[in-house]
Amino acid sequence: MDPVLVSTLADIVRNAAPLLIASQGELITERAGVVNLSLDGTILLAAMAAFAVTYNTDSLGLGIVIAMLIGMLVALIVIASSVFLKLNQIAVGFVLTLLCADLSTFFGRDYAGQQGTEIPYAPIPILEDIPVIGEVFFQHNILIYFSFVLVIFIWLWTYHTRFGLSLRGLGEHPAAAYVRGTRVQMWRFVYVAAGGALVGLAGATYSLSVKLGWREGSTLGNGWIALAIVIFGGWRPFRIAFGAYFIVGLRALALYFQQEDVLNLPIQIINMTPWVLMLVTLIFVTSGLAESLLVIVPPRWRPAAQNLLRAKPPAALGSNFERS
Amino acid sequence: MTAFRKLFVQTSSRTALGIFPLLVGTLVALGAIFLILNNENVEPRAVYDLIYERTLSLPDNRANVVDFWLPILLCCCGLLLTFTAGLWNIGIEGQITMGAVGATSIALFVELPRNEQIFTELFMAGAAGGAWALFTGIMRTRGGVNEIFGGVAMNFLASNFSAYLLVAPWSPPNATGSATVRFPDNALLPSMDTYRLSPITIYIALSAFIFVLLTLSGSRWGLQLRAMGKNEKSAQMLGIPTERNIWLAMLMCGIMAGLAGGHLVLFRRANLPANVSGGIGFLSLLVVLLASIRVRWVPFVSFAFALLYSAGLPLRTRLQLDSSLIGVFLGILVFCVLIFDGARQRLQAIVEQRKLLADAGGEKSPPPPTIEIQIGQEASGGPSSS
Repeated sequence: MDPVLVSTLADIVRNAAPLLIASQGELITERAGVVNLSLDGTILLAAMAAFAVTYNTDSLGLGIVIAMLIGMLVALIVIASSVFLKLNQIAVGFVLTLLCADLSTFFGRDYAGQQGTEIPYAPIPILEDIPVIGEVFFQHNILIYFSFVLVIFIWLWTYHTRFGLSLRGLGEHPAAAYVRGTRVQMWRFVYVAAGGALVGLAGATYSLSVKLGWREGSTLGNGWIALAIVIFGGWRPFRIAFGAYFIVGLRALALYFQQEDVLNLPIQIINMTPWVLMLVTLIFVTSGLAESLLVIVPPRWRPAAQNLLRAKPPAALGSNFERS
Repeated sequence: MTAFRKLFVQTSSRTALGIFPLLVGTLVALGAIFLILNNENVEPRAVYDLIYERTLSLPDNRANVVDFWLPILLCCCGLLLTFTAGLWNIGIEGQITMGAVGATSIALFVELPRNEQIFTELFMAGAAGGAWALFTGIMRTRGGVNEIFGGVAMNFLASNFSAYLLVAPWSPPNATGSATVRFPDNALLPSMDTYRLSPITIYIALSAFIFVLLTLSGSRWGLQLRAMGKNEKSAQMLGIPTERNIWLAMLMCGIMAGLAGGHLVLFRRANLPANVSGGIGFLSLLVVLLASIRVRWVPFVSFAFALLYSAGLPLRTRLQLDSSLIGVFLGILVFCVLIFDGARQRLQAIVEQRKLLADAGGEKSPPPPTIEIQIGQEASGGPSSS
C-alpha cells in the first residue's frame, strides 16, 4: 500500500482520538438524559491545565488527572444546577463554555508557545508489525489506544450489561427506571461526572499528544464538533466513532489536496467542507430523508438499514426528573 | 389607598427579589476578580482607574463606549425574540459576519448617491444576516437540525467565507488578508458633528428596541412567541403557526444582527477586517441571559457590558493583564446570577408550596411544575424556563 496513504490514515487515527474521547464522554452524559454544552470551553481549559501542570511538575499523570478533574467539575456544575436549582442545562453549559475558554486564555498566557513533555510513543509489540493495520492502529501512544478501547467498552457497557440498560432508562424514561429501582439522580451524577472526565481527558490528549503544547484557542471549535458528532452518530458508540474519523479524515483530505495542489482552492473554502458535509449529513439523517429512501433497499435488509440510520435522541434528554 | 400600598409593596418586593441575584452575583464576581488580581500583584484600584479613564473620563471615550454598545443592543433585541420563542440562536456571530460581508459587497463595488448608497448597504447587511439566520431556522423545522448545532456550523461557515474573501477576491494588493481597503467616504455612515457617533445606527437600535418591547409586551405575535417558549408542542396544538413563527423570529434576529455587522464595517472600522464580529454575538447572548430576557433591563445590562469590554485592550497594554480578564469577570457574573436566581426561584417555590399546604390544612398540594427542555424538535430554552 502507498506509504503516504498509510501514514495519512495513521494521522487520522491519532488526530481523531481527542474528538472520539470527548464525543464518547458526551454520549454517556446524554444517554443519562443530561446535555452538557460546555464541551468547547472545557476542552480548552483542560488542555491548558494538563499542559501547565505537566510543564511545572514534569508529571504527565498529574497533568492528565487534573484535566479529568476539571472536566468532571464543570460537568458536575451543569448537573447540580439542573437537579438542585432546576436551571436550564443549555444556559448553564453555554455560560460555562465561554467562561472556561476565557479562563484558559487568561491563565494560559504564560504557557503559550512553551516546549512541553509529550506522552511517550508506545508501539504495541507484535501487533505493530502487522502490515498496514500495525502502522495505522498500533504505533501510537497510550491515549490513542485508550480511544479505541473506550468505544468498545462503552458499547459493551451500554448494550450488554444491566448497568447499560439502566443508563438507557435514565435517558429514555427516568420515571420508569426509578420505579424499577434505579436511583435516577445518583446515577445521573455518576454518568455525567464520568462523561465530564472523558471530556477533560480529550483536552489533555490535545495538549500532550495531538497538538503538542498550548496556545490561545488551540482547540477552539472541537467541542462543538464533538457535540455535533454525537447527533450525527445517533447516540451510538460505533457510529459516533465513525463520525469522528470521518470529520478528521475530511480535514486530512483537505490538507492533502492543498499540499498536492490537486484542487486549486483556498484553504478557507476547503475548511468549510467538513461543516457543509456535516450539515448535509445531519439533514439527511435527522429529517427522515434517509429513511424515505429505504424503499430502494430490498425488504429483507430494510429493518437493519432502518436501525442503522436511526438518529433519535434519548426521549428524556435535557429534562429534570422529580420523584412524584 | 391600602390597595395601592399593597401593590407598591408587592411590586417593590418583586423588584428586590429580581435584583437580589444580580447584586450577589456582582459581589461574587468582583470577589473572584480581586483574588485573581491579588494573585497577579495588580492593585484593583489601578484596574478601576484604567477602566474609568478609558471609558467615562472624556466625552470621546464615552462616545466610543456608546458606539460599541449600539451593535450589542441591536443583537440583544434580536436575541430577545428568539429566546422568547425558546430558540438558542448561537449562530448570531455568523449572522453579524454575513451582515458585515453584505454591507462590504456594496461599499466596495457599488457607487450610488450618498443616501441610496447607505440605504443599499444597510439593506444588504440586514438581508445577508437575515438569510443566514433564516436558513438555520429552516434547517431546524424542515431538516430536524437543532438550531444550536446548525448555528455553530453556520458560524464557522461565515467566518471561513469572510476569511476567504479577505485573502482572495477582496484582498487589497500586497496585503496579508487581514482587512479590505478603507471604504470610500461616500460609503460610510455619517457621523455627528460633536461626537463620533452614527445617528443612523442610534435610530435603528432605538427603533429595534421599541419594536421588540412593544412586540413582546403587547402584541399577539409576542404572546405566540411566549407560548412557544413555554411549550412548543402545546403551542402548536393550540393552533399557533410554530414553524412560521420560528422562521420569522430567526429572520428578525438575523436582520438585526446583520445591521449590527453593517455598523461595524460602515462606521466603526470603515473596512472589513478578519473576525469582524469579535465575539459581540456571544456577548449579547450573555447579556440576554443575565437580564433573564427582561426587555427593560437589556439596554442597561448591555451598556455595562459594552463599557467593560471597551476597557479590555488597555488592560493588556498598560497593566500586562490579558483582556480575557473582562471575559472571565462577565462569565463569572452571568454564571453567579443564573445560580442565585435559580436558588431564589427554588426557595420561592418551596415557600409557596408550604403556604399552599398550610392553607389547605395539611392536604398535600401538587408539586411545583418542573421545566422540561427537549433537544431536537422540542428545544426550548431561555432563562424564562429556568
